[in-house]
Amino acid sequence: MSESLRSTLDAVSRDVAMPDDLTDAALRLAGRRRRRAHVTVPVLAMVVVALLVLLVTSVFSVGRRAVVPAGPVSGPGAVPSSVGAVSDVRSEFSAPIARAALMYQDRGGTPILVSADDEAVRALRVSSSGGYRGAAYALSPDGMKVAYGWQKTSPVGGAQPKTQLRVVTLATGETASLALPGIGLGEPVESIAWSTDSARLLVQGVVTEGAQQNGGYGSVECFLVDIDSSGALTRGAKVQFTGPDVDGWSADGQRLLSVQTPEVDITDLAGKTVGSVRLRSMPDAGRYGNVFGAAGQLWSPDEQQLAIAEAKALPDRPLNVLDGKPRPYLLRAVSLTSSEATAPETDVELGQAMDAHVVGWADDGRVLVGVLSGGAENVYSVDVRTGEKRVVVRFDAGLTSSAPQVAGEIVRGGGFR
Amino acid sequence: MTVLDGDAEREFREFVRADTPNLMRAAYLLTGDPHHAQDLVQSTLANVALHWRAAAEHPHAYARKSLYHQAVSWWRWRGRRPETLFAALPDASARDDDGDRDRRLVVRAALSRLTPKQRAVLVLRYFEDLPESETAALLGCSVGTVKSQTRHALSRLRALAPELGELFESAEVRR
Repeated sequence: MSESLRSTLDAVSRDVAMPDDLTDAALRLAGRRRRRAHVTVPVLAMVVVALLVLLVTSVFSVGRRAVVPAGPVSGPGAVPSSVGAVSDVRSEFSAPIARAALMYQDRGGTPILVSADDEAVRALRVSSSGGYRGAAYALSPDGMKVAYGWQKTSPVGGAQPKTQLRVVTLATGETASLALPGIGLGEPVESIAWSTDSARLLVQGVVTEGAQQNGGYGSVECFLVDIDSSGALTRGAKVQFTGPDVDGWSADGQRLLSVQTPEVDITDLAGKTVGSVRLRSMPDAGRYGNVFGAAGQLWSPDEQQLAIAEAKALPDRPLNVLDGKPRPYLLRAVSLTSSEATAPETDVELGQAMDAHVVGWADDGRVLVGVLSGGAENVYSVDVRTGEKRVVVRFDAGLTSSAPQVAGEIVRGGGFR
Repeated sequence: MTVLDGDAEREFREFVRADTPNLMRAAYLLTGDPHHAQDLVQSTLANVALHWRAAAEHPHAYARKSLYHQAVSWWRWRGRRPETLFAALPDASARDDDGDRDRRLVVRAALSRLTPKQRAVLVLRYFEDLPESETAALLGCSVGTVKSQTRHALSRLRALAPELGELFESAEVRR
């Protein structure tokens, strides 16, 4: 039977057209590399010495602080231009910020924060010493903290990496960390979800320690982390959560919602299913729904509805795959009050887009949805009752991985105040 | 500055003619994009040419190792850009029925959502049909790592493309 995966891969590989003879191009490239090597080696030696001097100097000057929430955001496309109250975004700041209303990632994956108080913009710089880097950044709902995994993702094998969960307080730059023994290799911290009161985290990580000795494999582990008033982190109980992502955490902190199309499951923290809704295929949805699972859905704060951003199926493109071409996207709000969600209550056209996903629900019932179109991912505020929509944040074109997250003011008001 | 001359260049040209199709197909599975695949193969062949004296005895093995190592490190350096992996859908072929084409599209799209390392492990295990030990040796990691990466990759593929679950489950049984 495994032959079928092999034959499918074989068939996929045959879709590529064969190029003309690559010999001359390869020889030219080899020649360039050889010439460059002759020039580069002495220059590299000088650069390495200079970097070592710089490194030693910086270690003594900044101590062991891993996160520096400071510095102007530079580079084209790094600063969001905006409409509404964010129209005067400044780009030269050095002081920390108290609360962030919005976080997105620039093209290099650096988290960029926009202050809820004065719309100042900050880059969150994370130490990459020893090959470690930040991943799975998550902005707390109160906008005051950012959690992330500090992990080594490259070459696997050898000793277990010292993966950590870190939480940085934006007002001070202080970072609390929690060692995650056993979690490591590959993409170890897969996701981090905040509880609605910003006091707890649900962390999904890949446990590989001991797997080789057992002749077995790594497994995904999900566990709670509590944050006390001093900011210290404490690892809590394991959670039997099997969904791909947390798409909502109940206000009382006791239930989790996840969507694996067409099933919507609500479980308690012990892993027991306490609610289940089957989404019936929408009339013009893709043949397989959203193939990638991460369809950009989110549970409403009153736990009665689910907002889904979904591409329409086209006659020549029945699959909702990321194929590099725009599609008409819809925002749909479905009721979760019965066991089968048969019809969307709201069906709002978002226009032609490459991707769209729900990023927040406001208390007034408006849904915030990120829409990637024309190289920019803008955030719309949509009234799911009337279908009225407006842009609340407009990013510069070229932000191919903006991945906006919202918190604080922007969620409460359905936009910046 | 000539990289190869005389017999060496002739042997290299023969090797390129014979091995380019296999390298291109593997590179396409690893990158998901025909242009990136061609760049990757061209860079691999340049590496082979630069080290032809060492590689001449087993050029295919040398090229394959270089290809997979570059595929993993390229994507690490370039950052993860899953939304731009596929420049265009392949043209529908007359021999395809809808089911085959859909299956290829889904598998190709799902592959693009794996980490470079997971993709490399899957392609080596199920496309090149290498045993775990050879896969580990080629990627420079342990057999245990190959096992865990394979498991994560298949599990992720099942989540991304549940309609093809049987395909991935059968692969897991064989593993």
